[in-house]
Amino acid sequence: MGIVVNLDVVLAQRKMKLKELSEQVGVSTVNLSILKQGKVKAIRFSTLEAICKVLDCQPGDILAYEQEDNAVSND
Amino acid sequence: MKEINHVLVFIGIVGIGVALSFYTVESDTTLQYISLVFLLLFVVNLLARKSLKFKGYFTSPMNIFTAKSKTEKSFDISPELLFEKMLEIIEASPFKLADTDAENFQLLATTGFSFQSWGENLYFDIQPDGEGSTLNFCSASLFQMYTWGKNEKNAETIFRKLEQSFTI
Repeated sequence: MGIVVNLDVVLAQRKMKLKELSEQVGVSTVNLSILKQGKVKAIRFSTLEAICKVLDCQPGDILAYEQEDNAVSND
Repeated sequence: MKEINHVLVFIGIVGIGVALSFYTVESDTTLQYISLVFLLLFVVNLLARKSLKFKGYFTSPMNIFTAKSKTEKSFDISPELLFEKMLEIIEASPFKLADTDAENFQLLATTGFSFQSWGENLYFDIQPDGEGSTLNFCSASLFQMYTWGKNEKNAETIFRKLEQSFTI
């Protein structure tokens, strides 16, 4: 998948533990761990909003798109 | 199609019951002994259902008094995370968590009595599978040979909730 989750980077910048974020956002640590690993199927806007609010960041700080290596170019 | 199967099984059970009543009407003692054995088996199963130690007994193909349905599914998260996730899902489901074994990633949940069955035991066995894990699920009835699709319904409910939980 081309979507990369940078939650661990933002958490490290804020010096915040996953458990603290879990308590403040209201999402279990299990689900945040799975999100951190980029293994979730989808993320709700409400969850993204809550994470951004607590971490004082933009959605783009947490999620990024990276071109996959095996992508076929038409050029 | 499933409903037709259930109706056929129901007719079969009623037929066997009527035939048994007809042939044993003259020997009440035999019928009483048979009833007592079945009652004892039911009580034993009722007492043993809440422990993972009796998983082999309930899920064994040799145990003809329990109907079983097994499902296997792979996930790309670690067994530790899947175990924690299963705990969350069971807590949020109508099923009741009965026993856990965190070392071997095993869980046991039970369902309540309904018009379709006496209840089922739901066994979850999580095995490491490369970087991910495999969930082996088995729904076994408490004491009946046919569950009117209840085992399959349990599997459907669990896996639907599990899939939904990957949207956070």
